[in-house]
Amino acid sequence: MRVPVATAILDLNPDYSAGTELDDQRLIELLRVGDERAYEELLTRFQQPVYTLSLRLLNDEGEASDVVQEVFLKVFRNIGHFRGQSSLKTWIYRITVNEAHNARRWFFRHRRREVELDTDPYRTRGWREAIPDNTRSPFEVAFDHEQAGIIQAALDRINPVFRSAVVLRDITDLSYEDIAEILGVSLGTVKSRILRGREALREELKGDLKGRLPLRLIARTAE
Amino acid sequence: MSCDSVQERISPLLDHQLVSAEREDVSAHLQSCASCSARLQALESLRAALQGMNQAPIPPALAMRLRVIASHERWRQLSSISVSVRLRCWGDRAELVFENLMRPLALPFAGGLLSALLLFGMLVPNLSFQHNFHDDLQLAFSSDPDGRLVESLPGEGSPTWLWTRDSVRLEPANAISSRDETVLELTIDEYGRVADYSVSQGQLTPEMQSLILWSRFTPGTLNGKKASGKVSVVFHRHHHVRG
Ligand SMILES: [Zn+2]
Ligand SMILES: [Zn+2]
Repeated sequence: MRVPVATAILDLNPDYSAGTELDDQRLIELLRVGDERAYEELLTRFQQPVYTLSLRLLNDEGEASDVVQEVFLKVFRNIGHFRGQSSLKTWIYRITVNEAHNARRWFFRHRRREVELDTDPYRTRGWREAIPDNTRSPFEVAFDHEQAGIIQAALDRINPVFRSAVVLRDITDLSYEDIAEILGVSLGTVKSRILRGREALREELKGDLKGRLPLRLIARTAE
Repeated sequence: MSCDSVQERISPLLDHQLVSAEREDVSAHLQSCASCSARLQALESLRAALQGMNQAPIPPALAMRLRVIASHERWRQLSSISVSVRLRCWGDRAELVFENLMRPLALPFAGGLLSALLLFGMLVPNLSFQHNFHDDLQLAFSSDPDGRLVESLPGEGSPTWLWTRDSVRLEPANAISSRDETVLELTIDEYGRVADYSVSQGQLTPEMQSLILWSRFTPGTLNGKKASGKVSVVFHRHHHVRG
């Protein structure tokens, strides 16, 4: 016969029906008491956006995967210290932006150099291959995988301060308020970073894409 | 409004960040200025293209690794809670089934394999995240903790008899253990600490609880690295001084 000793943990484990989305507060409480469904729920809710954000900030699947693991490790380990001064969402994205920033610094110091001298997938691949023929609609083109590569490469070249703001706004789809919280800057700063980031991207793409892409990234009558 | 100031406002316009008066001024200018309206179109297209870039599906291997991390971290969390709860509920009657806590997450997808991985990740926290799990699973050479008590740790609240006398000890349980022995199953973490325990046979006394809480064991290994594992031990009270 087995007499389990394991404590009053389940007393701390309030029941909730699976399937209902928990509010932040509840989810955090359940994580703190080691509720298994809470761990799964946190991952289900955030793994995809955190991965996409990391990938867009880093432009490297391996680096992004490492960052995502680091982010969730930090989230799980620090959930006990999370005081709810921000929303769970902005807290997790803030960790992600910071981790990506650190990874990128490291990446640049140690690896990017060789990678660039060797083969950078986005830059050595011929533009012509990447450019779809004109029979496709601009809409299709915009969502084309190669198109994403082109824009990703442009994102990679702009000032990281602007890049974070644009990625959080246009790719992660966050409000100016959330972005201000994540980056720890004022609303005015967010506004100007997004504006300048988009302009920088447009400039980058204009140089690269001149006359080659059906996408109207270049103001046709401008200049 | 000048072209420059209109172009400054195109980005906030797209995000509905302009107050209505400003918005009207900008719209009016855009109607009549080809250069500015082209800029608007360019930024709209750029934004649409960026929005289309949120579809980068997480690699399945990463999703799985995250679940291993989650189960490992949950395990840590439970260990820290259960030790403190145990210290508080000193000598309390046992109520709950530890197995419940060890049950792998019931996920609707990927069924058996994922569950196995979860349990695996839970029990083997030192699994290197750098490697492919399938490899790790196939190459998992493991050893259980040997049940040998390495030391009893003096600590706040730990009774002094633990190290001043030699009359109680934990020993590896063998297949035949007598009825009156208390048999415990201990989960030893990678540091050799008792992360959890359950009673397989007999009665647990506060003295035994104290002994297992303040004891350190030789941890098991997985592929040569220290890892958590389970061990069965019996509690012995020696009536003679040296045994
Ligand atoms: Zn104008
Ligand atoms: Zn560990």
